[in-house]
Amino acid sequence: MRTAWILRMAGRDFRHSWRRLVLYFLVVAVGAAAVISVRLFSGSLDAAVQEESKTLLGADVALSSSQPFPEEIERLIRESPSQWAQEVDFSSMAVFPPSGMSRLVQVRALQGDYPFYGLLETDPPAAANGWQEDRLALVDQTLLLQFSLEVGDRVRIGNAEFRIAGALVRVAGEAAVVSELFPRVFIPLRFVHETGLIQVGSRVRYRYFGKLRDPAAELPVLRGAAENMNIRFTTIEDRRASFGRSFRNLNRFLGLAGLVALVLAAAAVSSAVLLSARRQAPVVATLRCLGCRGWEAVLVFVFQIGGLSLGGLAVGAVAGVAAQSILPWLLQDWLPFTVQPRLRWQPVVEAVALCLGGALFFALVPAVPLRRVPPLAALRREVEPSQEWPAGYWVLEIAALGGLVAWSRQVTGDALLAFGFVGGLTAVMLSAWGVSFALMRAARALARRRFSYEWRQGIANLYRPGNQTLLMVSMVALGTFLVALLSLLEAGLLAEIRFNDSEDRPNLVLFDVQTDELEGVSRLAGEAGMRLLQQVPVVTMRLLSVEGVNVDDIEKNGQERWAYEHEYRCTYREKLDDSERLVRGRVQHRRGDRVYVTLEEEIARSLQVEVGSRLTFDVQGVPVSVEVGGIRQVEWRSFQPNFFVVFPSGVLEDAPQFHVLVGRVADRATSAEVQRKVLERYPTVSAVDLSFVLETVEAVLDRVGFVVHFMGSFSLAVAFLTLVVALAGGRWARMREVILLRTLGASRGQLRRILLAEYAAVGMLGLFAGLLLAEIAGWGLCKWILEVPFVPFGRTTVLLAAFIPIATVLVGVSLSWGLLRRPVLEVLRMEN
Amino acid sequence: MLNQPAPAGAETRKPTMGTDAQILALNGIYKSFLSGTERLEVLRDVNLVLAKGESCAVVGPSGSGKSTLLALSAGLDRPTAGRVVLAGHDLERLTEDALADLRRRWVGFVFQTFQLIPTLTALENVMVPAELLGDTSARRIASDLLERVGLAERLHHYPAQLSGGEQQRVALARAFVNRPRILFCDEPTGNLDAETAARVEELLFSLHAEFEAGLLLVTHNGDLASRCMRIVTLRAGRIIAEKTPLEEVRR
Repeated sequence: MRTAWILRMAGRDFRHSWRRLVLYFLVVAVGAAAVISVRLFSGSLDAAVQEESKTLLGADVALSSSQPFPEEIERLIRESPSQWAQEVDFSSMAVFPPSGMSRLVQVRALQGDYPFYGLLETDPPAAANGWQEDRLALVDQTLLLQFSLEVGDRVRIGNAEFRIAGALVRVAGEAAVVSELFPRVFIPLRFVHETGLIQVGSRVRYRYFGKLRDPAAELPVLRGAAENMNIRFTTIEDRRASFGRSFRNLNRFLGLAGLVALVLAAAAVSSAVLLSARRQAPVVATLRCLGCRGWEAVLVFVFQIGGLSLGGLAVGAVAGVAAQSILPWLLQDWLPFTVQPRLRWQPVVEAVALCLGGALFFALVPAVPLRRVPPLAALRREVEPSQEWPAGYWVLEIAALGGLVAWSRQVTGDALLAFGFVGGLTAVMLSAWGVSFALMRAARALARRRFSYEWRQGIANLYRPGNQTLLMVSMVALGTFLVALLSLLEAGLLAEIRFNDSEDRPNLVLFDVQTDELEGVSRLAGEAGMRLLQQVPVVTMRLLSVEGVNVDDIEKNGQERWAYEHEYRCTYREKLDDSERLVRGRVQHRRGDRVYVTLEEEIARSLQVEVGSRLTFDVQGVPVSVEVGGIRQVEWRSFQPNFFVVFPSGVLEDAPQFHVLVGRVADRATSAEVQRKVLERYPTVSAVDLSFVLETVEAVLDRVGFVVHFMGSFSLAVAFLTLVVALAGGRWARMREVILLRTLGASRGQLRRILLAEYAAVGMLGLFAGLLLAEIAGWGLCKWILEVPFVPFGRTTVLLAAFIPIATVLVGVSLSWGLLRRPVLEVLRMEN
Repeated sequence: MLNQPAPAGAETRKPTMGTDAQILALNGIYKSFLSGTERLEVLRDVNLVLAKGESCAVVGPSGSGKSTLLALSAGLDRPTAGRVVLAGHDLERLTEDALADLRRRWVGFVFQTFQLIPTLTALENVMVPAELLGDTSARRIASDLLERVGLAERLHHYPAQLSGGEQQRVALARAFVNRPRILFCDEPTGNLDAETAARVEELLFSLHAEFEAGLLLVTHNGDLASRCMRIVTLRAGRIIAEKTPLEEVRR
C-alpha cells in the first residue's frame, strides 16, 4: 500500500472538499465537547462530594427523631465535650402582617452555631450572625420576593411574631431548589414554644448536630445509644453515601443525555460522509482507471475523515474543558454546594478515544462502499456501485449497537438499563424513519392527484436521486418528537391537577385543626367563603407487630423498613371514600374486640400482609390490635387526605387527634381570605390550596423540563445542520433542474414556489411524523405509566407547527435563492 | 461459444494469443447484460488483435458495442465469454487489484468527459499515475508533458479553471505520463469544437507515435478514425468489417 501517496492525495483533495465535510468536523467537535464536559463534570462532582462531605451534613454527626429525645441521649449530649446545636423543625403557615398573606413553610427552630462546616449565606451577610440572640427570623429569599417583603418586616409563625433579619440565600448542604419548593424560615429555638405549634400529634422532627472533639471515641457511644432507642444516626460517611446514590442518578442522566447527543451526532456524521462519498465516487472510478486499488481510493477518503476527526476532537476537547464550567451553572439550583471545575486528563483521554472510535466507525460505514465503485463508472455515468447490502454490514450494525450498549452500561452501571435505553432509542429512531417514509409516500400519492403543478413538482423533488430527503425528514421528526413528547407529558400532569379544580372537587385543605378548634375553624372558614366538603379526623400511631412478631425482629429491606417504621396517620370511618376502591376483602364494622381495618394495597405489599393478617399499632402509648379486613386501591393524586390504614368507627374516637377540613373556595382571593381569617384566630392551623400545588409542580416541571428541552433542541439543531448539508450537497442537481425548467419556460415566480413547496414539504413531513410519534408515545405514557389525562394539543404543538416549516423553508431558501438569479449560460459553462 | 464461426461478411484476423508483438488480443468475446428479464447480447464473437505501436479505430452506430469493447479490452469490465490478453496477461485470471496494477503499468486512458480530478491542479492530475507507480520524478515528467501539450503556463490551474480543450490536453498528458504500452481513447474529441478537436487530435497521434504505444480508439468521427492504421466497424455487437484507411478510401 502506498501510504505516502494516499496521505498526499488526502491532503490535496481536502484543500477543495473541506466545505463538504465541515458539518462532520462540527458534529465531532460538539459531540466530543458534550462527552468530555459531562465526564469532567462527573469527576469534579465526585471530588467535590469528597471535599465538601462535612458541608453536606454541616456537622460530624446528626441525631434525628420524630419524638423528643429520651433522657439518656440528652444526658450524653450534656456531658459531651463537643460542640452541639439543636433544631426542631416542622411545617407551618408563615403569615406576613400586615397584609395577612400566608404560605406553608418549613420552620426550623435552631439553637447553636449550626452549620459547623460550611456557611449560612444570608443577605445582608451580617444577618447570619447574632440572629438567635433576639426575636429575629431568617426567611428564604423566594418568600421575600413572592410577598415583596424587606428586611425589617415581620413574619408570624403560629402565635409568635419575628422581625426578618435577612434573606436566606443558601444553607450549607442544601440545594437552592429546596427554597423554592419548600421555603424555609429559621427562628431561634428558645421561642419555639411561643408559637404554640408543638402539640401532641404535630409532625415535628427533633435534631442534634455535633462537631465532635474526639470522633473516634464519641461516635461509637452515640451510635450505640441511638440504635438502642430507634433514633436516626447520621455521620458524614452516611451522608456522603446517600448523596452519592442520589448523584449517581444525575451522572447517569447526564451520561445518557451525552449519549443521545452522540447518537444523533453519529447519524449526522454518517449522512455528511455519505453525501461526501457519493460526490467522491466519480473520482474513485477515475483513480481506479489510473491503476489505483479499491482500498487505496477508499483510504484517501478515510484519511481525510481521520484528519478531520482528530481536528474536531482537538477543538471538542478544548471546548469540552471550557464547557464543564457550564454544567455546574446549569445545575447549581440542584446541587448543595459549588462544584469547582477541575481538569483531569484521564476522562479527557478516555472520551477522546471513545469519540475517535465512534466517529471513524460511523464515517467508515458509508465510506466503505466506495471500494466497490467500478472503474467502468469513469466511462459510463450510469454505472453505479452495487446496491447490494454486503453481509459484513450487518456485522457492523450489530457491532455498533453492541458498542452503544457497552457505552450505556459504562455510563449507567446497569446492564438492564443500558439495554432498555439502547432498545428505546433504536425503536424511536426506526419509528421516526418508518413514519417519515410512509408520510413521504402518502404525500407523493396525494400530490399527484390534488395539488397544483408547483406543489406536485416540489414534492416530486423530494425523490430526487441522492437527495437524502428521508434522512432530513426523519431527523426533523426526531427533534420534533422529543420536544413535543415532553410538552405532552407536562400538559398531562398539569391537566390532572387542573382536573381537580372542577366545581365539585376540593381546592383548599386546612389541617392541624385541634378537636377543640374544629367548630370555630369550620365557622370562620364558612363565613369567609369556604364550602366544607369533608372533615377528616387524623390519629398518629406506630406499628408494633405483624402477626405477633415485633417489627424490630422482622428482617426488612429499604422500602419495607419505611413501611414498618414510619409514623402512620390514620383516620376512621365506615365506608370507602370516592378516591378509593376495594380490591380484596370488605369494609367491616367493629365486632366486639375484633377491629377490622382496610390497608392501601402498596403498604400491604410492603408489610407482606393480606386479608386476615393481624397487626398491632401503638396509638400514642396504647396498643391496639387489628385484623386486616380489606385491601384498598387509592387514587393518591386526588386533592384530599388519603390514608394507608383506615379504622372503623368506635375505636379511635377518644385518642388524641387533629382534624383536616377539606373544602372548596371560589377563587384565589377567597382562599387568601379564608387563610387570613382562620390563621388570625387559629395560628396553629395550616392551609394548602390547589393553586400552590399547581405552582410547585409547574416549578419542578420547568426545572426538569429545561434539561430535556435542551436535549430536544440539540436534536433539532443537528436535524437542521443535516438539512443544510443535504441541501448544499444537492445543489448541483437542483441547479440543473432550475435550468431545465427555465429553459422550458418556467417563470421565476413558479421556480420560487417550487422551491418553497419542496422545503415546506420537508419541514411539514418531519413535523407530522414527529408529532404523530409524540402523540402515540404520549398517549401510551399518559395512559399506562403516568395515569394522567392525555392532552393531545398544547401551546408547544402550535409553536412547533409554526416554527419547523418556517425554519426549514428559511434554511432551504437561503441556500438556493442564488440559483434563480444566475444566467442559464453561466451555469451551463460551470457544469462543463 | 468460443468456437462459433464469425458472421458472414466479417473480415477478421484471428489473434494468436500472447505474442510479444501483440499488446492486445481479444478472442471470441461475448458480452451480455440482463435488462429486466431479457438478456441483451452487446458483443458477439469479437476477435481483435493490436500490435505494439499500432493504432485501431472502432467505429459503428450508437449501441453497437464500441464502448463495451473498449471497457473489456482495458480490463474495466469482464466478458461473458472469451479471452482478453493485455500486455501478455490473460485478464480473466487477474483479480481486481491485479487489474489495477496492470492498468497502472501499461495502460493510458483518455475519456470523452476528460475525467480529471476536480480537486487537483493540472500538474497534480498528471502526476497521479506516476506517483501511483512510485516514480520519484513524477513532478518533472508531468511538467515536461504539460509543456509538451502547450500548458506550461497552466500547471497550477484547477480543471474548473481550464477550457474543454485544455482539460483534454491535461488528460492526454496524464495518459502518457507512465509511457503506457497501450492507450484507450473513448471519443477523445467528442466534447470539443472542431478547432480544439483538431489540436487534440494532432497531439494524440503525435504522442502516440513518439511513445510507440498501441492505440484503441472508439469514435464516431470519421476523420479521426481515418488517422488510425486500422478501422474496425461494429454493428449489433459483431465486427462486420476491418480495413485500413486506404482500403476504406478505395471502397
